[in-house]
Amino acid sequence: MIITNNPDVAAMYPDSRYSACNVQGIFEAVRDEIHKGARLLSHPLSGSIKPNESPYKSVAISAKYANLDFRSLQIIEDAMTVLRRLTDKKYIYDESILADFRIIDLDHIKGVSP
Amino acid sequence: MRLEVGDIIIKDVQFGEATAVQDGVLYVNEKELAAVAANDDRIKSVEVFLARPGESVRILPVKDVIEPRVKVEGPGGIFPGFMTDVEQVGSGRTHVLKGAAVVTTGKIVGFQEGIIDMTGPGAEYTPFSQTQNVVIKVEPVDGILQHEHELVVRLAGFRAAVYLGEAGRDVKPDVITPYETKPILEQAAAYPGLPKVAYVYMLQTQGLLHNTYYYGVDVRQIVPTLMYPTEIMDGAIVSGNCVSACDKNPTYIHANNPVIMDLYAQHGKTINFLGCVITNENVTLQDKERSSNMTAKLVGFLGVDAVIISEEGFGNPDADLVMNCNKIEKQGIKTVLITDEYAGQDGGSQSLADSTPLGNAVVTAGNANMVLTMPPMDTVIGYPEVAHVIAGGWEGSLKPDGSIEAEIQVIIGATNELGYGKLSAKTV
Repeated sequence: MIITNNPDVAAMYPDSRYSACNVQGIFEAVRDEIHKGARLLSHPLSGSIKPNESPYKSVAISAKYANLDFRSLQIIEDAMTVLRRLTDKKYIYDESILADFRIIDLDHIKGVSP
Repeated sequence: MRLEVGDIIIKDVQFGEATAVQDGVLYVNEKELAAVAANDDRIKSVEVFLARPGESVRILPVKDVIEPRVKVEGPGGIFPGFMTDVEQVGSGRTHVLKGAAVVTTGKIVGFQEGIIDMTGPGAEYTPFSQTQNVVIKVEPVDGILQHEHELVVRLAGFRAAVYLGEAGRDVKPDVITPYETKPILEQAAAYPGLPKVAYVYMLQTQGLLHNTYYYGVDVRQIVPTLMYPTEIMDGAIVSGNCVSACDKNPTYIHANNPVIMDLYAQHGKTINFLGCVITNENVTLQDKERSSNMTAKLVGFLGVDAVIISEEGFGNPDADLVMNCNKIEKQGIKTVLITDEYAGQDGGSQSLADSTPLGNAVVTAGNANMVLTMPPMDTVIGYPEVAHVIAGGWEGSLKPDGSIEAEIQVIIGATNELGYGKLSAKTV
């Protein structure tokens, strides 16, 4: 399952769980699912674009629930730490740049095996 | 495999009637070069500029930097899989216009970074303020999508570099350096008293604007493989990576990989350098596990005592770096890691997104979050408006007077994780 705030990803993968939240919100939703037994399939820090630069984030997790996967939990917690510590400088993007960010995020999540 | 690299030292670049090298000056026929670079139906126009060390010139956004080279003896050609067929390269003789560089600029996506300042404080942070730069500004036809745009600019840069490299074909090099790695059993037996060392060469491969190619293949699609170190000197590895200017590896730096150069410098003296394992940095955790397992297997298969592992990028690749380190160390093989840091603007935060107690020998290439103010330049080549939304900058980074305040992650090569720069840290 893909948890995303990227409308392009939601359009391409109708089974994904879309929420119009920020990246922090996506990371929190992923962390909650890991606590319920999901595993990370994609790394939450996909790409060299820093998580505070792009407003879009898609993360793939397993739909199969098992015991708590500590490695997945550690990775998402570390990603949240990275997001918190990066600069809090604000970016103002126009629609064409937002579209570019959506395409990069979509391309990264396309690399995840079903 | 034995390769002689003949360096033709270039001290200046000028436009001229014919493209040629004379007395250390590279003369460039502007129209001919522009026509070669623009030889693609998807290109609307190409403009050529020169930027020399010390000039008040800013180039942005830089997509790639490429060194002009030409194959004068031996199989294959420069940039196999792109500019020539896929014959194995890395043997014979290659001439290099040492000191010259092709710099490509193109606005593929709106938020791109990548600055080269030819003078001032920004110039201190990029190796390409010291090269004689031939800048290729590529404007594609309307309506082209991002994937194709990246490819178009990448290929235009390679065509320009190959065209300029031809000017060195019949020039007597100033310096000729031989590099040799023998077949594995022979090489392993060559220096029985010396520790055997391999190099694990991690390549960024996460998708659009985050790709690297080996003989034309997207490295995302390979499992880790063995490579003769000399292959890089003929352009076997090229960059399609246009994000994270400070710690991506431009094609120029792949061809001059300082880890390989330094290992060769010690080859037969303090170490026995057996070869390279190239591996990828993919998006999924399963891909990461598979590639690090294969990398550790190949390193164990080689029977080395130690490896150097270099990373490309930050964040997600930190996980690949840590997996490679753990799995190789657990086989009793020592590792040295090369990375850079995102330790916050004050340098006081945790540097990496992942860590391991087995990573006890680490070289840093600097803190990418360090803030720098770069004064205005007389000339800006490329697309100066990009600075408004530059990654590593912020709204207001570009000042009304043309100066830029931003983190050094916007500067090409500032914290290059192959060590092709000046930044590091020492324990005191």
